[in-house]
Amino acid sequence: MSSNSQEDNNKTTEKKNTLTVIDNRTGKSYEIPINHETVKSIDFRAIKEQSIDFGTMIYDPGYYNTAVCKSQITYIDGDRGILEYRGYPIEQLAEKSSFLEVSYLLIYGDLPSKEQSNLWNTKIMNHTFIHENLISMMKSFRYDAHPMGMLISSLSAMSTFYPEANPALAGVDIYKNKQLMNKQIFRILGKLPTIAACAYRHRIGRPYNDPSNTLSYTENFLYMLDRLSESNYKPHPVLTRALDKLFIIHADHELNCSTATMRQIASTLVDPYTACAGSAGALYGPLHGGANEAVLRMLEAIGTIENIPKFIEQVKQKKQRLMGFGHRVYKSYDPRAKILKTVTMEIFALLGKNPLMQIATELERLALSDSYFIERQLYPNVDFYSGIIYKSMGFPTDMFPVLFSIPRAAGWLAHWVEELADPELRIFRPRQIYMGRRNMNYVPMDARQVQQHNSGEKLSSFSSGFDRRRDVSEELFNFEDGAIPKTATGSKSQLSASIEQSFGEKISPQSH
Amino acid sequence: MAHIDRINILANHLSKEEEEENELLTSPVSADKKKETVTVTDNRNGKSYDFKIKNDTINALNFKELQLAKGDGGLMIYDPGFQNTAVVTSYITYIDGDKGILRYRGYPIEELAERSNFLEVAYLLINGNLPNKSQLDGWSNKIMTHTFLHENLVGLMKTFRYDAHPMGMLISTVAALGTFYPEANPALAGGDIFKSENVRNKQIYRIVGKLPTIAACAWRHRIGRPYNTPVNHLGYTENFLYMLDKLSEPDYKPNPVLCRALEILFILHADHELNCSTAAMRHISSSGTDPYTSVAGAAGALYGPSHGGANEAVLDMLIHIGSKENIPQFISDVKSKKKKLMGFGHRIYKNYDPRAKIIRRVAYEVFESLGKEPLIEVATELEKQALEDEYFVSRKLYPNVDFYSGLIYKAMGFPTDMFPVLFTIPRAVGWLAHWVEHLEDPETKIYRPRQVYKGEWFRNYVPIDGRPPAKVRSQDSYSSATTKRYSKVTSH
Repeated sequence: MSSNSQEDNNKTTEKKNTLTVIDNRTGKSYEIPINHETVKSIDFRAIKEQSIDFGTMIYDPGYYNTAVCKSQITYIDGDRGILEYRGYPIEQLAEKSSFLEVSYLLIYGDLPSKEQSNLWNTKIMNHTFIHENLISMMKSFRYDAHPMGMLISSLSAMSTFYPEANPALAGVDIYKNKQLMNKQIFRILGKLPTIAACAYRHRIGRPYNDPSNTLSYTENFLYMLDRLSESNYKPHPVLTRALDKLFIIHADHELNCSTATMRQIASTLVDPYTACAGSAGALYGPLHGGANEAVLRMLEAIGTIENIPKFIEQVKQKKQRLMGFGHRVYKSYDPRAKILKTVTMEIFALLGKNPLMQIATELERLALSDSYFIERQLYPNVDFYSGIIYKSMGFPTDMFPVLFSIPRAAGWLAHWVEELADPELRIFRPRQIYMGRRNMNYVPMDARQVQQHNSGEKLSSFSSGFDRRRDVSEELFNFEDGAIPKTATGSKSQLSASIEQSFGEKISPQSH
Repeated sequence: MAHIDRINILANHLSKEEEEENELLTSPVSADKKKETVTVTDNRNGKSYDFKIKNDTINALNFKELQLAKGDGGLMIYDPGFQNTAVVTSYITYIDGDKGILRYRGYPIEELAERSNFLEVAYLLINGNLPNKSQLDGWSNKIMTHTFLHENLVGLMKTFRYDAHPMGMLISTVAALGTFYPEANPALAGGDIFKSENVRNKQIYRIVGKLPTIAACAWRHRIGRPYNTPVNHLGYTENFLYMLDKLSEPDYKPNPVLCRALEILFILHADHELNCSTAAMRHISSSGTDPYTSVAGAAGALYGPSHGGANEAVLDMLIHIGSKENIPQFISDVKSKKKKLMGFGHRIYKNYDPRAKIIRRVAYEVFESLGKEPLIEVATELEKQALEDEYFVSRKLYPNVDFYSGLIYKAMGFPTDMFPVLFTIPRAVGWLAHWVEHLEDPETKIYRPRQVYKGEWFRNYVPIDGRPPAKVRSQDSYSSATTKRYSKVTSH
């Protein structure tokens, strides 16, 4: 649509696709081309006040308006509520497709034929087992370790199990080999649910389950999570289908924070396990992967349907925040939220209605009919429903970002593949505006004063009782020169020096 | 010779000072005449806009205004690799690539390397000023008290296989470290916990304190020795070398020359503006996660051969050249693009990398202690010939820090896969300095760059039964012997 209207404009008006930039500091004029509704940042480098200057940069904290790559994977039109994977609308894929098929589409660019689909499923399901050494590593975590920490740690540990896939060992050009690239894709997609299930089993103190490769992807995941002693455990198909849909809609979302991290870390040509670990780290942050948890807490705080009007009033007065509404990209209904709304109904029909669901439904109804929220284009986003679904399915809240990481890995890998094939690939290295001091001269220690603005003056930190006991004890018992704590420069600490000064001589056993 | 170098360095710093004075003198006079703006005319429709130009930057959000139709989103900036986009305002490190200047919080790197020590530099980077004696003592004691690893973490490290890459061990272990401190996890303790300086400082002590221990354990794991516990009354690098090398000695003391060499290397590697790994630190932290997870991700970026593996590539090149007599042939191959000259040139420096000058002298001190590394002769001669060759001079290709650091590490007995680990320990200080600055920046927000979508515009889903084969690249992958046997069995 946009392309066509642009062509029409070109034909009728013969306007140039350029910007003319006049630097009013110098009066000079520069011509900068426009391509695909973007201008190249590097073209602004030529704008200089003096010839020795570095040139003008673009300033964009949070990268609000900077495109860092060209991509053919996912299209979003936030104003119209459109989300497409490789051109296919998310609604069609969620309704008709499966997560593994969508993964194939994202990574390879097209829907697989029946034969291709069977081969793809077989390849991934053959790679669900994790190395026994990795299982030992996972078992060395403590009982209350956060499952995301376990997942991130296990992902990066996996890079040590596949040295042939590590550019640091096998050479920087190894991923020109498509077979090698495919192998790592199978491994990561195959093993992630197993790692996630092991993290969950670790938390609840159950033995880890082996995968069952004859089941489908999400079916096997639920199997590994829940099977106890049953010889032929089968997860309920409604839950399997619900999880598959959740995985589909979470698979990719353009350059979100974690996918951008994938591109950034992978731009150094590191192996994909390490890059996925870093991406999962970004997703772990409460501003990214933890948003649906915040919705749950809000709903719990509201408590009952009768409390909703008061809550809405407090939101308008900025006393409370409305979680799960609004999105930086979508200014219309998040298409993923529409899909999830129907999934919630199916889940509750099976598991019984969740009390929070009634609150959520009523809150949504009231908000969508309130002009305060309509004017601000605040609609439910995907997090509004996903947390409720996960909670209804019995997942503790710290498992939520894990359930986000599994499907999002498909998007990370799709972007990894696309990036390595991009002739414009270069290492990510953003710039800064330096606002600090310059031309400082080093002052020797003895002549240095405590600066008033020195934020590290006291370097306070919380101390355990153990630390306090040690501090007191060391004062009395470290009486030999060699045992008194030294600073990095080897001089005695102030504490030791003051002790000697107070006592007039070295502390010795006879002093007691 | 050394004093002439110092004079030149000082001259470079002073010349900037003079320019600043000139700016101050002329600014009041010409303030009314100067307009700190650019006028942008969109030639697609003839409209003009005035944008502010401040600190030699234009804000990217301005270009959203350049709309052809109301509500069409305007223009975006396109910048692969973020070559020309400033994403933060920072007070930490200043680099002038053309003049070969590198300063931490305003202090020239040459002065810090000559007169300071790593923990003092760490204090400077993170807290913004040099500490006085009592402050430095307090800081050093805090960090050295946090060198021990939890025994459960030691158990985790021992589950790695004998040939695990030490960087994979380090990244995995740092990520796991986050699960030991739930009180420092925003996902558990709340998104605002790092507004507390107490909590923030504690994690800094832990990370700076424990990283050398993790690195040493990874090394001991590789060589099959028991892990050493730290000795907190040694200096930072002294303790690191102790943990690496102590066997049965009751009072092992590392060589002071090696301690000093490592100290200087750590100072040089502590920060370097927004390199890829530091940018990754800021990026991951922008989602509000804990610093252990962010440091693990940043280390992952540093692990890539385009970032942390550069000094290893220099070694490979020198080994390949083999002897001084082969250098002219090699240089000729470089000019005819048959070979690459590793360790020369830098995306930022168009002059001699100031770190390379310092490290060159360190190299000689190390070799005097340990005996000459044969490759140093090749390196020195290669550098001499390259710096005299117009081909390299005209392209502004000078040795960077990687040219010598690999040689030093090799001479000190480190295998090449330990190199990025030795980079990670000091660089963590820069990462933490940027983490702190990021937390205090009111302009901070979650990082979410945009894309230019070039894919299929709209397609309808086709059921699988009526679907032709997808036009995709190869689905092949290599198979192990196990898989081949397995597929034979299942074909019955």
